[in-house]
Amino acid sequence: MDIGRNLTKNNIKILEFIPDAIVIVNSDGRIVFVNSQAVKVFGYNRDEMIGKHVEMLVPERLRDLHVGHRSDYYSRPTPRPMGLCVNITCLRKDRSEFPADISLSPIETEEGVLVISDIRDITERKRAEEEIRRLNEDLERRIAERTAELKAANMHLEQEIVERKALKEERDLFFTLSLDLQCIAGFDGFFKQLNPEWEKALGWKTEELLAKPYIEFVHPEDRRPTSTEAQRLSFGKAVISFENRYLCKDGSYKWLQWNAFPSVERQLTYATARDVTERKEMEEEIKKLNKDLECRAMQLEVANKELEAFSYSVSHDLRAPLRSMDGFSQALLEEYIAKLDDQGKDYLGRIRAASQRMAQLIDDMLSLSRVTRSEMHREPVDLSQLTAEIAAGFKKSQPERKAEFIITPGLVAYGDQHLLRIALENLFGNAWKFTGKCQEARIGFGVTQYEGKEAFFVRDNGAGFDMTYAGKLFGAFQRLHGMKEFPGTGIGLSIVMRIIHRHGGRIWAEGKVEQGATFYFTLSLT
Amino acid sequence: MSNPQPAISNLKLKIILLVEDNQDDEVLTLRALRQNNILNEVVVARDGVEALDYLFAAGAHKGRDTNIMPQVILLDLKLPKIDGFEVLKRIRSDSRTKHLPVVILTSSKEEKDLINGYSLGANSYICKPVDFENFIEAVRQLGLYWLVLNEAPPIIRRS
Repeated sequence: MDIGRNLTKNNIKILEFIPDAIVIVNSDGRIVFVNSQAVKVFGYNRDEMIGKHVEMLVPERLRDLHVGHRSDYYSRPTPRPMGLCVNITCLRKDRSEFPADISLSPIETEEGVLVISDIRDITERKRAEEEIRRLNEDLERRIAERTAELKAANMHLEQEIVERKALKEERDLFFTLSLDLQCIAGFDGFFKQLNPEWEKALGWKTEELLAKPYIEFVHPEDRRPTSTEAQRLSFGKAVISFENRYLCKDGSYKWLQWNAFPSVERQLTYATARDVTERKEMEEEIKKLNKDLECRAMQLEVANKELEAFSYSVSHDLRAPLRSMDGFSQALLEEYIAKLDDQGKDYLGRIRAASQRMAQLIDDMLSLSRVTRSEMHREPVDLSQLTAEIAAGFKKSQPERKAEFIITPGLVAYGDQHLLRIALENLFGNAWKFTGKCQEARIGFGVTQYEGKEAFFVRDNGAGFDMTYAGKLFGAFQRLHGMKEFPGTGIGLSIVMRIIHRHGGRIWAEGKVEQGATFYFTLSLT
Repeated sequence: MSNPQPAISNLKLKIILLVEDNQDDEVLTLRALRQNNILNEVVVARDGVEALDYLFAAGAHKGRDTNIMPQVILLDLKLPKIDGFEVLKRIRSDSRTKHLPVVILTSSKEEKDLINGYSLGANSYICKPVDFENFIEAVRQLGLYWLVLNEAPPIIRRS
């Protein structure tokens, strides 16, 4: 080509050394020169490009636009450096495209203005740029994320601060308003903080309590155990329900029950105490009562044992001498009858009678003590049936007597069958005995109300008694009648009274001389 | 094995062992026996040790023929040295005496004594009445029953 020829050999050589693709275009837009770099970049032979419109190197969709740009440029050709227009797309022979940066330099020649296009493949740069952009974007995203995180954390912290503040206020309120005694004490033995209840409970001012080691307020007897507990706390062990006495300002002591939890890290103990003085005093009282009761039970047991030993001895030893008196009196009466006058015989008879009476007294005494000593077996007892049996027994013993028994049926009590039989036998025995002189004896058994309780009664129309002596009726071996009139040892009613007392009931009597008597008794649980 | 002895009419061999420390009671008991025409030999032991010595031929009774055993033992409970219950226990625990009829004859009516006596194997328990006439009657019935009506256990010889 002419243009090519007009460029000097040196010029061409220089253009070959440039690392960019060089395409020279004339005013018609035809390619007049390409360097070997351009051949390499675009993939065309030199001949395939020379003389062709430069638009061959532009993607088809941009060709019209390029033609426009080109004519614009030719109207005002000025050098244009690289970097002014980086978005130019070039087309290779193989139809692939690549981004390029192009600088344009117009040259005046004889053949008109030629434009040298320096074309630089900026695919790599673009990629790098893209990478940077992407990295930037990533960075920005990460920054945004981190910022969001920090913001959230901040908000959380703020909220926590608010919550903690509220909690602290609540805790302080709780500490102040609690009805329990609350405190924080140091491992150094001093109170650090006390709620107002302390002042109310002990009477000391808070400052007074804080001023001295707390052990000085503890009752001297409780100091050792208190120290032991404090030691436990210092090892990180909680203390539950520990009790000790604290000195009040007025000199008295109050029992406090402690729950405490230590923080070894802070060298502090957090503790709650409760004033249990009242309960403690009650416990002490109960303990004392129990001790008294135990003591009394023991005394009772000892007394019972003694009674038993006594009864045993009476049973074995007291009768033997009586037997001798009676036996030898009898021997005298039998073997020496010829040597005795009537008075002598009478005396011996009296000795015998006295021995036998004493034997009877001993037997009665033993049965009285047996009633006291025997074990109780409570069960429902049909008293009506029991009295009917007893009545039948008396009738049979003296069938010739005119006697009527009036027994209310169906009376049941809760008690010891054996003992209640003995009691009723004695009461009926009395009634039977003291109606012995009646033309027509009437003996009744029934129930009435006395002070809201069921009171059973045994009533007769016999000899009765003078109410003046009513108090003596139930004493052991007490008698209101002469032996001649009504025989007996006077033990029956004291046996009855003991039985009724053992049932937790009471017994009393009403009577009038020659107008009969009524014996009332209650049994507890009826 | 031993041959059951035919009822021996010899009263000497139907011995009564009376264990009684109270001399008045001893006299009265002997008198009551006599009054009831019970003429058997009565061996009196005045305490528990003496009773056991007699039964097992020891102490003062060393050399006694233990093939001869009392027909009945009348045993008081409250005795010096060894009491009646202990005597009864030893009688029941020895093969030579374990079947011997033992009648407790005492002043006591205590339930405890009754239970104890029967638990240890007493054959009978009689409370001595204070009234001597009643006492004589009791001894009469006792003699009739244990010396006449009751068949004594065969004597078990020690091999």
